[in-house]
Amino acid sequence: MGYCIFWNDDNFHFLKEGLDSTSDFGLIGFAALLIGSVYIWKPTLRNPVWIVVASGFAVLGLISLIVGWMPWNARFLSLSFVMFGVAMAIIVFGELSRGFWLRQLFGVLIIWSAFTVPFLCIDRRPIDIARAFYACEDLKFDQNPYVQRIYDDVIALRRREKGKWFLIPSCDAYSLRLRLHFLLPLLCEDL
Amino acid sequence: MADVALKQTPAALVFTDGCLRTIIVAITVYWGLLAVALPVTNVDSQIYNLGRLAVAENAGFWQRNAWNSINQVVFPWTFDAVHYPFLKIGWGMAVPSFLCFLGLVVMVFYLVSRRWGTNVGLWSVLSLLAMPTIMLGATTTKNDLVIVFGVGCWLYSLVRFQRSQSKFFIFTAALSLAFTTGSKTYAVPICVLLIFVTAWIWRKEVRTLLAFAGFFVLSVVLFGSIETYVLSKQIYNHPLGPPRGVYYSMNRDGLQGAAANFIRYYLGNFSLGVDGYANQSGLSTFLESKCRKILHNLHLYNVGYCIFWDDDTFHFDKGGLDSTSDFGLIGFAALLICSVYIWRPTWRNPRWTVIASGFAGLALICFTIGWMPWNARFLCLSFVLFGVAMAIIIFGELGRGLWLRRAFGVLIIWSAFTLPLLCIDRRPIDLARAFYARENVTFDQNPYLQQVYDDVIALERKETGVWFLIASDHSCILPFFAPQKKPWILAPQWEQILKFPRLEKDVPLFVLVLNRPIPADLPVEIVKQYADNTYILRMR
Repeated sequence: MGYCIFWNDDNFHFLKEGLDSTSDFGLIGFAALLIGSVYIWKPTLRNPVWIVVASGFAVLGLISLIVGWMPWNARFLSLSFVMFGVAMAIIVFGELSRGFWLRQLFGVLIIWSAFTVPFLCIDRRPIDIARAFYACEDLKFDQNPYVQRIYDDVIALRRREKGKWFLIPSCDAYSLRLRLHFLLPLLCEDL
Repeated sequence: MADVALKQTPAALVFTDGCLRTIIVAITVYWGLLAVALPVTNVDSQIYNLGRLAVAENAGFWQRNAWNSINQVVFPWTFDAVHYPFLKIGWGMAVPSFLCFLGLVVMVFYLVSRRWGTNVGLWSVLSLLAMPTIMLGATTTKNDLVIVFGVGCWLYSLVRFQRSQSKFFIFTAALSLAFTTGSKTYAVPICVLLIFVTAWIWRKEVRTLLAFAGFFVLSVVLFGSIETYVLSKQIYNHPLGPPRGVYYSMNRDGLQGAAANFIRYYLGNFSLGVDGYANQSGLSTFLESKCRKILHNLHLYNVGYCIFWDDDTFHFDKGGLDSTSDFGLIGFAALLICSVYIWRPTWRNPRWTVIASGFAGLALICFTIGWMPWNARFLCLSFVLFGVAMAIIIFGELGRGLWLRRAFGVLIIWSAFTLPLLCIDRRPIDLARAFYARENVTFDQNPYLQQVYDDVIALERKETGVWFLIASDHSCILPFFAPQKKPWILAPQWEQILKFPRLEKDVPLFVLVLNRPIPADLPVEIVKQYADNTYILRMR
């Protein structure tokens, strides 16, 4: 139940690969979710932290109700997790009067997570900043490397022979790059 | 000795002492857990550093027939022998190296914070935690960081002796040098140099000097690994092993070779701090081509190498292994900063002495050892000194430059936090794998051997028999000793197997052959065959 049409209990899976759409909210997101899950059971309507946590769960509930489940839906939960994260920071560093070591531990974990995130993401590693300059094309096709060969061949053929080009992509074809570099100039020419 | 009056650190602190302490404790706990949990993963250790402990246990130390690698005989083994109890326990293999690191951290903090304050002391420690080769050395079974620890103990003893005049510190100075000498071959020239320095410092205190000499002789006899030199003399007629082997692994080109090696080490340690496991920037290739150009422009053709390398084949490694790593972005920054400051000699400032000592250590390595791609770990002493000097300069002596300190502070913490993700065998997931996939971690650096290992275990469970081990000079023998119920019969020569008295005919004889071709006329049946001349055989 609750799936988008392409998924069911047999083929559903969780993605933690570090792509824009195949990532989770990391250790800190997980901690924030847990802390929020405990905090939600102590309702104090005058406490803005509880309101933030409750809003996070309300949005999560809304997404769960209206959007069919897909493996790459984590990004739809950004609003909820922003709220959980803020609430966690307030709870751990603002409200806990004791728990010095807990705060230290959380502090280190948050800094550690923030520093290591770039190494765990595809296309967002430190080296990708340099690649954006010296290997921009490779970087653009990082999430779909097989298309790069096609792109290179099309560009090479177009340079060698002038002609009219048609593009027949499927509904999920990776054609943006081709359109930008090739189709648009062609259309302009036709006009 | 240096003036030890406390100098105040610059007024605006980048991070508070409490914050730095928490970060240092957290990162140290991570590496400490790895040191306790990881099995022996290092190939060198599996071949000879710790492999020879298993051979000595099985066949005895004073024998000539069971050693399968020259390195098991010729290299000093004092520090390796310290690992024996941990081998028996099966856990805490890297604890000796990690304790060396902890000792080093304490000494660095003590020596730096006395003069420059706690904050600078903490940054010095954090700088060490941000250098890959040092942290890999702190959690490995190899014997590289122990040299830095030994030299640190010697310096710490001299400083403490100056304050307390206690004879105990004369003893610890002598013991640390003797232990260091017995831990690694390249530590011998370093220790000889430090003995002269000690004699110079105590030149007016004859009694102290005599006490030092007495303690040193006693310590060398006990911890100087004399026995490996004697064994080597017995087997190879030379205390350092086959003379050609020693010659080939040294710098054979004098000052020219040393200059070429210096350029190679210098350029090889340029780093962006993002290489290592699965993060190849391509910087190595770029540096190699530039290095070749510089060497050839200076007419330094094929000089300074170990015999296996030359200008065409040399390459820089930044792969995140114990022996194929550099000192990261912080090591690179420290090297650059020290390269500038060395030109401003101020004899009374210990910071300059630290930098000069770092370069002296580097020069000694350049002059004595032939260049190999995995020599970065030999530079730990120099880079510890460079890192400490950089921390002193940036956080202790720069009166202005708040933003520079902030940038360096963030870079150091960033490097220290991201280091585990750039190292092979030291990633956070490896900590868990050390428990649930211990065998896989053991063979991470040599994965093809895992199948052999599994087959040996399976066969041993199925059939009880006598097992021979015949291995080559570069075979990882150590993992095969741990699970075996009965002792191996170590037979590096085929004749030893053929002449073995077969008392019970029903008991099958198995031979595990690691990286050795099998003679054609051998009366055996091949049970399993693997790549690189590795077999499990059954004797007919």
